[in-house]
Amino acid sequence: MRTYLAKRLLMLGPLLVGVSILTFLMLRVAPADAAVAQAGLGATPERVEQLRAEMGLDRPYFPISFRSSVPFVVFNRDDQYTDWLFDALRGDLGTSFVYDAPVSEEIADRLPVTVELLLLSSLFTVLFGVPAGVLSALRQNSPADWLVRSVGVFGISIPGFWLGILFLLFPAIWWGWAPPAVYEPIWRDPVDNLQMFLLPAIALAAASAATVMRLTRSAMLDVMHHDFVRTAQAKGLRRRQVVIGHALKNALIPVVTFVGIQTVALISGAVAIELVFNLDGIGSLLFAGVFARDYPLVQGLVLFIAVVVMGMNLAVDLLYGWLDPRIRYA
Amino acid sequence: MTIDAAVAPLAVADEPLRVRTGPVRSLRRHVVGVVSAAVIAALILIALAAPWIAPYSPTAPAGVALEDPSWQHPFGTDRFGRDVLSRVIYGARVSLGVAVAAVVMGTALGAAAGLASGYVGGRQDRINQLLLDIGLAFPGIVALMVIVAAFGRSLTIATVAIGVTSVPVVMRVVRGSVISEKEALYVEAARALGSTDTRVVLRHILPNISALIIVLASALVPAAILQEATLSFFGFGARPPTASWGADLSKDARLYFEVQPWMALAPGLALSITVLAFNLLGDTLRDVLDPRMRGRR
Amino acid sequence: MSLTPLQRPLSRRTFLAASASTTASAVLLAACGGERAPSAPDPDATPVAGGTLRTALFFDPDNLDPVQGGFAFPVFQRMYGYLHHIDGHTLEVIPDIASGFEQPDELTYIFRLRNDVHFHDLPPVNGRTVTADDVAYSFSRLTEVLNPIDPGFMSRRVDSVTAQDAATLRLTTKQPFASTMQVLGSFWYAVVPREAVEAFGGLSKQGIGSGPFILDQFEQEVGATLRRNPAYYRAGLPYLDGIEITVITDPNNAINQFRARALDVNATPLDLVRWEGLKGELSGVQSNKVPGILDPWIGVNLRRPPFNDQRVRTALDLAIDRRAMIQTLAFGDGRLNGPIPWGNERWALPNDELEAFYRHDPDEAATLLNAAGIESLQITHRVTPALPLGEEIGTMLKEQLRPLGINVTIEVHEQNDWINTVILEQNFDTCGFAWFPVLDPTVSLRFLDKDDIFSGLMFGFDDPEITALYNTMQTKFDVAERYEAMAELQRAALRYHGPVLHTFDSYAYNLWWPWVRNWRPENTELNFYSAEHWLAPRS
Repeated sequence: MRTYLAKRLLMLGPLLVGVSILTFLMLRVAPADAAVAQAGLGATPERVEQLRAEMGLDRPYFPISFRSSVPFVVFNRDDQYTDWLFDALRGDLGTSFVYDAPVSEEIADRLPVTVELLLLSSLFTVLFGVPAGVLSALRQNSPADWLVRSVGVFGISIPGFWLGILFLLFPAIWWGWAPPAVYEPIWRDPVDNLQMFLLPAIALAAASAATVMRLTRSAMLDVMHHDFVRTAQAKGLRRRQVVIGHALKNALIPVVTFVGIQTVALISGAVAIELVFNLDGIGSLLFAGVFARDYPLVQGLVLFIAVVVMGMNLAVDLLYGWLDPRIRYA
Repeated sequence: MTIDAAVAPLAVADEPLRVRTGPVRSLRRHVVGVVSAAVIAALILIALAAPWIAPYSPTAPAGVALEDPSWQHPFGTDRFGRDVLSRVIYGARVSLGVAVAAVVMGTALGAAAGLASGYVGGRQDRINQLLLDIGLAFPGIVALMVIVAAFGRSLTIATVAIGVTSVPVVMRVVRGSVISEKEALYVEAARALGSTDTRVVLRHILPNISALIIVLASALVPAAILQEATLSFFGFGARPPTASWGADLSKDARLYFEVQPWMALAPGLALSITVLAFNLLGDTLRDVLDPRMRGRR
Repeated sequence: MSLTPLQRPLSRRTFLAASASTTASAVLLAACGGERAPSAPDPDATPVAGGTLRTALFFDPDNLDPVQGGFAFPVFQRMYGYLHHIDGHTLEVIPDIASGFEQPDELTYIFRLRNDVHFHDLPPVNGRTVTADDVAYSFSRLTEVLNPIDPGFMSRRVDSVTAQDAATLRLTTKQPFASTMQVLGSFWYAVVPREAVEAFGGLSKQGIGSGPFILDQFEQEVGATLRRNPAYYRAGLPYLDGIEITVITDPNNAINQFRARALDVNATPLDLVRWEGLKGELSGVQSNKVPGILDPWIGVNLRRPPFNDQRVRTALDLAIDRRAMIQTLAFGDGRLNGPIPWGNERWALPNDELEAFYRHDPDEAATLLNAAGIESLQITHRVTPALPLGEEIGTMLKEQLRPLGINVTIEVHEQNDWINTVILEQNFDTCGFAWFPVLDPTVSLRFLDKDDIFSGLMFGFDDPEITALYNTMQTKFDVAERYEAMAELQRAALRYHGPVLHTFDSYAYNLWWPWVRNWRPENTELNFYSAEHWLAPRS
């Protein structure tokens, strides 16, 4: 276990560097220019050039540059990447054009919304997905199984954002109901807050829960057919004991991984859901940044998301390592 | 559903996906799969034959705006007077075209990379592992949006983006499989007989993991369809007035819902049915091709 | 050219008479101005003080500084004071900080300021009186920054603005400029205190004014809250305790919020179908429709060949089917627009003249394109959702130009991105835009003044004859002569087929809940009228 842990942590460093380079590069490749956006109304070509110099956009990208002639490799003292990286490490993720505010501030403002959305969705995912999957596996080929499996396959087929659209349109038309427009944290106004988050969380969780349900069912069946289960059954233990005692515990390992993977998938789905339900979270921030070609915002935001996802992947890996006895006791 | 989640069951297992060819189960046990295959074939046909079977042009007005469904317009007309059914038919071209192209690209590249990386092993493989992990740090839509932000908005870019972002997933699964296949007896035998590495990979390993790749691809297609729909919904994929199921769900469909709900319902249903068919087919393929999962049906 | 009943001639004497009025008569003037439907179910009810009006914006207010642009005007127009306003329909002067004025000659304007108008009681201004010096300072700021809304008045037309004493302001123009009073009443000519500019480092996020409302909070992309100014010079006003403005760019969400009564007034543009639908669905809702002055237009980049060829532009104009656009996009409830939108009834060209001019003749268009040597053409058309109808008109344009071998690619931009790409970089073939709802005709006609930033810089417009007509028009102080000159100018612009091709306007379809009183959506002089809004107790 210790070597496993060490190996995972050791990879973190190069991983972070790699992620940061990719993020940085992706938007530098872009044809448009940050200085023009910053210049705003009243800009002239001279002003843009001046801004370009001020913002340091005329500097080399990386600390190392390659040349086709001697000396072939040049070390740059003042490059954009290093500045950006060190700023990011200190928490300065750049300044957004659209919001005219630090990216980290925008993220901090909006993080609670997305976190709440993801937490609720994860909750629904697990609450519906896992028990349904277990039930389905236990009652394999029964009508209940078919029902759950049908719901599951529908769940992963229906686009989450379409579901969200329908969730908004029908109540508006039938009952004149609309979710609150302004965000209230759950501790300040729980009723308002849940009115705002319930439907989007369900729309977001649908595909997730369905996936987890299918995977749980798969994992359960897999485990149930293993020899040791048959052995335990042969020993005469009651089926329920067998299931709870052995199968579920073993199936839990891949299920935990599924849920971990799904949480990352939820981040993906959250972008569209936040847009449909007008939630001011990280997802709609990313959309606004991409739509407006606000490069500092997109860059800082994507770096933040990547680091968070890496953290979550690592946590899942560690949890998996702890749960799987083959790794834990290695 | 993201690509990553779609192929999770294949990737999670420590045991290699060793595929042995065996008698394909009789069609009767896979009714659902056969029906979905038929539906998909029909969809592909519709997409290819769109210019001939669509009653109207998808972009030229064909009647009064926001008309209710009628014999001329089974789903009514949209905000510009365009026939909704025709737009749905042409939308199939976009959805299927983008998804298939992206998946073919991603699978080909990912499989090639996975084969090379898994077979060669060593430091090269470890570097590739690192690159893989980096690639996986960007959740699906996030990566797609960054590519769109950098390179612009068009269906071509969306296709390439979806293809590229599916490479890490394919690569990881294929690599895992190759690593275990490497140790198999038949590989040793081939090497002992003097086959070059390339020959071993291409003529021995690849056929044995081809079923896996097919199953992978079949899982990736529905995810790719949803990704294109989401991108077009954002306005980052299909540009107006191109008929795309995702794009058609954007502004007008919701705005005029009380007046003409089919603008929002038709593309959504089309998407759901298509993705459903591919998912069911994928399930069936997995059943048929992966003996590990036999006994589960 | 006969004047319609609305176009009452306004002589210099009337101007002077209006300037002598007091607050009470000003309110009366405003209340009686025009034949617009009363906006409350019970127009004689006594206003009740209190309550917070909840409204929204469908675009991002972006920058709160009046001289920086216009998107935030629904916010800052309520917090700043102005010399005066001009009622765009009646041309009456609505006095604000300036209680009166004189115009001793064609180039000179002397304004007499009230002595009881104070800035808001906030540091560092602390409620001091507004002086002529403040006005001069505020106007001078327009020369420092390029404000694309301002047709270059301060920087090009004004000779000097000086405070003769604390309550007297003198402004002289270089040439006779008949639009002067109208321009000075525009929403970007807000009076701001110098200390605030210095203390806040600019007014883009904060501000202190002398208007009926005080800014409490402002956040880009989110919204603003305003509270009542207890020291407002118009006694007893404003009635409201505050105004809450939320940015809701998604039209669905905005309508749903209005449906759910979370908004008191509808703040997203509606078309006939949705307006009728909502009217039928929401019982008790109040509505009116006002001739539109949105003016969605198609701009042509005259620098880029082949658009510098008038035959090509004429071909475009002939290929555009405006009547089809009216049928589809306005559901038939609209009219053709000339250079001045038809909703600006006083100055627009008569409808039958426009009907005669705008022909839809694709064959002639094809002939012209052939003559110009164009076999096929790629056009990049840039639009932004911040301005309604841009994408929709673009979509119809694409279909209408397709038979001529012209392939239009529609690019959708975020609002600032559009400004940067189109205005600053001039990187476009054609663009779709719509103007702010301003009744000042010189704002609509500014494209024809080649020294104007929008005209010369953005479109590369450089026709000296048309510009001469524009300048001539500005020398006509008599309303009838002015109308004629403006009509000549508009006709010349139509024949030039550029730099802007106008399309159509329908109506501003307004909805509000019955407890909102004195809500006059047809008036964009928000500074003045927002003080008169009041909320009845909800039953």
